[in-house]
Amino acid sequence: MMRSTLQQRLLPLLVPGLILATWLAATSGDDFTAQVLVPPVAVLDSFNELLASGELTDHLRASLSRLLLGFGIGSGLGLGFGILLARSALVNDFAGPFFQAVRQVPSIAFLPMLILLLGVDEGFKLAIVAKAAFFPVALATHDAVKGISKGWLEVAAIYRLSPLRVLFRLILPATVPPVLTGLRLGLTRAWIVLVAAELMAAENGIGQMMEMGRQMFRIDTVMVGVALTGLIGFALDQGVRLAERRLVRWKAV
Amino acid sequence: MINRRFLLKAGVAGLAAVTAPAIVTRAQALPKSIRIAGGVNFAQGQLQLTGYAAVIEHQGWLAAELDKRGVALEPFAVSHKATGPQINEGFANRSLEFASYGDLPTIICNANGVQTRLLVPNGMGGSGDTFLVVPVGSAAKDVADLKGKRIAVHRGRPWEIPFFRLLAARGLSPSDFTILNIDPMTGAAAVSAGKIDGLFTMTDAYLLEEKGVARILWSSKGQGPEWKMRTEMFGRKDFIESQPELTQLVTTAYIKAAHWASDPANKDKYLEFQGRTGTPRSVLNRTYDEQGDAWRQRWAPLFAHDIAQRYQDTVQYALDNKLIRQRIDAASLLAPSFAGNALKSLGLEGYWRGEA
Repeated sequence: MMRSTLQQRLLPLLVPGLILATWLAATSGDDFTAQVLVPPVAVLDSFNELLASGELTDHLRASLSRLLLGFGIGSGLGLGFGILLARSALVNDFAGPFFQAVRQVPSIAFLPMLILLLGVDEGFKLAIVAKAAFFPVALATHDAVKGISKGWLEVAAIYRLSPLRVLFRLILPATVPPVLTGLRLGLTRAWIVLVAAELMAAENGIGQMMEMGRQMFRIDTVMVGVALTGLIGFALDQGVRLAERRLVRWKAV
Repeated sequence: MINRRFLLKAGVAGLAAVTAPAIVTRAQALPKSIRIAGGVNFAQGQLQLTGYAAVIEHQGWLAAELDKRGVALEPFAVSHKATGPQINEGFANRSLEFASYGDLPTIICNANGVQTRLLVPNGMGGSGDTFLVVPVGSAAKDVADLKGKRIAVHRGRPWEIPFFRLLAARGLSPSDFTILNIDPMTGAAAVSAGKIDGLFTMTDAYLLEEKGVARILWSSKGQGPEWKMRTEMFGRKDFIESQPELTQLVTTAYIKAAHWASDPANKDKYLEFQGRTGTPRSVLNRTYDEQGDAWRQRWAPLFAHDIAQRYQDTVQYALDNKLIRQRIDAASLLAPSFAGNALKSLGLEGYWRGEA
């Protein structure tokens, strides 16, 4: 028992540790100039500097509030649309094939069009984040609702439960696990797309910090952005996983 | 290349104590090739040479001279979306020896420890006019009317300098505007769609105006050189020092090209080169509207006295605006001896007006 938790804790650190050691070793000799491969210490220094000046906090605040708002809009619409698509034959006939086709286009491909339509302000960033979140959530919701056992619905029909009771007592609890998976996927997709959009056009945000870093040949700043993007994406994913474990405790019992 | 070295390095990480620098002997032997950026772009899916690169290819002299020494001439293509960063990255990882590009990006490069030297100044600054354009429906008559509005300028590019100079001249500062850092293509799309209130850019402004999607509010045309952007030919310092003979050849080729292009008889051919990336002739005619003597002077590759001052100003600007953290000695960026030799050997001393 003891050993397995130790394993669980330590093994995930092995690969990052090895990469860090290699990175340290590679930058300690003369093979790489600091401009080609920034030493880890320089990245840490740059992180502290950006933090102390308040610049990093501003960028993070801008990015995370965009993410929250865009994801809220996209996932909310996705939930609603997913249920409709699964429960209504009419909606499915109307929007099903189109939904499946648009879903195949990478969100980034919409960037130039969205900039023309919505400009380079917040609008296009929120739209693209919402789009990125919408599809995985809608798809997962649709599949989850479709996947509800027919037997359960029949029993509900026999008991003449009202549609609202069916929604709250049957559909919602039965669909929580797959929908949460969809939300998790949507959230991390939304994050990736947001950073990409900020690289292209933004006043601030973690993506813009990296873009400006490249333009100013500050690879240390770029690396701070890369590391933070990864860590934040990881934290978001783990956060939803934690919520997943809490909300579906009933399943394990 | 990096990957292989990286793996190699990883393999010996355990024996880190005995790692000896792999590259100690910087051989004086000639390299297999030299790579030059600037005027090398992909257009319509093909590599297209414009500017000096096109003239040098047309003359064929440099390729022939290098060939005699067993050295190949390789054009180094960069994207218009990130010219400065790609060239700086090329200098940093030594995949590039020479490049025609902007004063601000090269100062950024030097301030971050990768040293370059100016070998051939660019007369009037090549296609160096700068422009402020606004959407067609805009009521603005002056940059001051855009106060509080959104202006796009790609940061770290050479036209950033005249833009901020223009603001300062009107008693304005960047904080009076929402400055958006967007590449020129995205900026052009955004101003066409009226989604931003202004775009500061280079001669692509003429194209936007001809298409009827934007209006030129201000331009450096007919104004002093301080309003234009500087793009000129730089070399990587360590390469210049280890290969002075090749550096001289490349410098001489550039000045030969400037001489050819400055002949009004060749202007038509030159504009043909410039049209390769799809720029309409009407736009080129407006960009290069100098005639006779003015056309010849446009190509003057001379280290005139104002160059040192200009570089000092640009370094100061970059420091003041926190684009760089370390002050660099602007005068040390200038390496006029190669151009001086070339003018002498080509018998072109006195061909252009101004001090050499």
